[in-house]
Amino acid sequence: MPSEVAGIACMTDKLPPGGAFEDHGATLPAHIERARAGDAAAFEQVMVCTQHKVAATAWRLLGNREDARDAAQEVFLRAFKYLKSYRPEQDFHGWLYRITVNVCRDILRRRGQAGARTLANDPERGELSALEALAGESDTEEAAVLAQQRAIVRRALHALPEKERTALVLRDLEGLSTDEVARVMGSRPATVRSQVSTARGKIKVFCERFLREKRV
Amino acid sequence: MNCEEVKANLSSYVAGDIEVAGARETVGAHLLHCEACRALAAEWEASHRLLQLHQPPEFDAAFFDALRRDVLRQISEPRPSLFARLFGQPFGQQALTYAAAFSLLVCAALFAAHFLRRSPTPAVEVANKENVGPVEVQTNDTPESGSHTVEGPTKNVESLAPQPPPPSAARRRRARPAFNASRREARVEHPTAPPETRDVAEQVARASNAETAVAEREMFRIELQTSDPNVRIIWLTPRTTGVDSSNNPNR
Repeated sequence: MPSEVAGIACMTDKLPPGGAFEDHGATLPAHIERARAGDAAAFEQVMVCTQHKVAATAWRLLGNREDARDAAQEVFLRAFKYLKSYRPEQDFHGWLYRITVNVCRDILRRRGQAGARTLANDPERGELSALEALAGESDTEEAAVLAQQRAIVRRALHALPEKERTALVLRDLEGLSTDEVARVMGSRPATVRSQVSTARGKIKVFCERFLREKRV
Repeated sequence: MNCEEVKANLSSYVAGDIEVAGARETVGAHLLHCEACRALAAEWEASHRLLQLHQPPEFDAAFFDALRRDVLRQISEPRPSLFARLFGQPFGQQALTYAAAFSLLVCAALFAAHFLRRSPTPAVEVANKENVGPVEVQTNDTPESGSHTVEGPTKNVESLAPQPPPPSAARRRRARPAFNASRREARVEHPTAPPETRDVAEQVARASNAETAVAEREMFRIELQTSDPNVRIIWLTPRTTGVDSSNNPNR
């Protein structure tokens, strides 16, 4: 097993309910190697290690649970299909991020063509509104403000162009460095810096304006 | 570093990704004594904190179990053959549907063409004439076959086929002269008329042939076609008026 692969940590960022979750950091490269040979059980272990991160990234890019689930499924199917082309010296995180971003981009384009599942008919938006209403009824002002702010951020993010949103999510929410984001997106670091800076400015303006309108 | 340079780097400063060496310390030092830039930095911080609220919901174990189960099921399914991939996928199914619909359409068109070619039933109409004048046999099967004039007195002849819609005015004008003088013999104007039409015309002419001579001696017929194709003026007048035709040697 190459030493580069051995250093890859598991992408799992959340523990499942119950807390009994083994550390996959050391075993992930072995699972990858076996999965490359066509071992489905090993690939399932790869999924266990990476599913939280893939689903969370897909949710941040797509904005709803159903699309995130579809995207995660497609990501793992593509990953299994192209796992033979993955080279062990590559960063598995980045490789999987790249597939995730591509899948989410495809889903967003399909959604744009079909006009399906926009923010207007997103069920989670309804949940959010219900949460706001509940918060209002129980007079917990902080919860209401928090729910409102989350809704504003979601709307602001979805108002961004696709590449700016991807760059901002990967850089500011997923915590990747500018170079890593550039590799994932297949562009230059300077381009990513510009996209991130522009996206931050737009988010700031959007949120300030929206909060000001809400206060009025 | 002046205020403009600091403002240009504030978002990166707040997000912690200033990459120019020493720039972070420089911006921090500027913010200590510049209240305007400090206020702007606070706005960027608020925006950055707001962005961090965009966190996914808690995905439960059932979510991931179903996800893995679906992925593994699709992975373990045998790979479809090339034919199945070409014709079994949604696009292939659509293609098959389109091909079947196109085949049905072609069959229907061929059947209709064959049926129409086999039964060119001419619509024959014979004008109702009594005793004198030419008899017109109109056909409407082809544009070339116009009306056929059989002259001479006839008995009542009724329409031999269902009445077709009236032909166009131009065709009628070409087929029917505005003025028809009487003639002795029956004549089919169009040689390419269908055989059935010619037979009818000949029968009509033969049936009336015996009476033609007597009738023509007695009556003179003038037809005038008006601009309305449905209106024709027929003028019957005795020949005995004026010159006695029976005594006319030129007749």
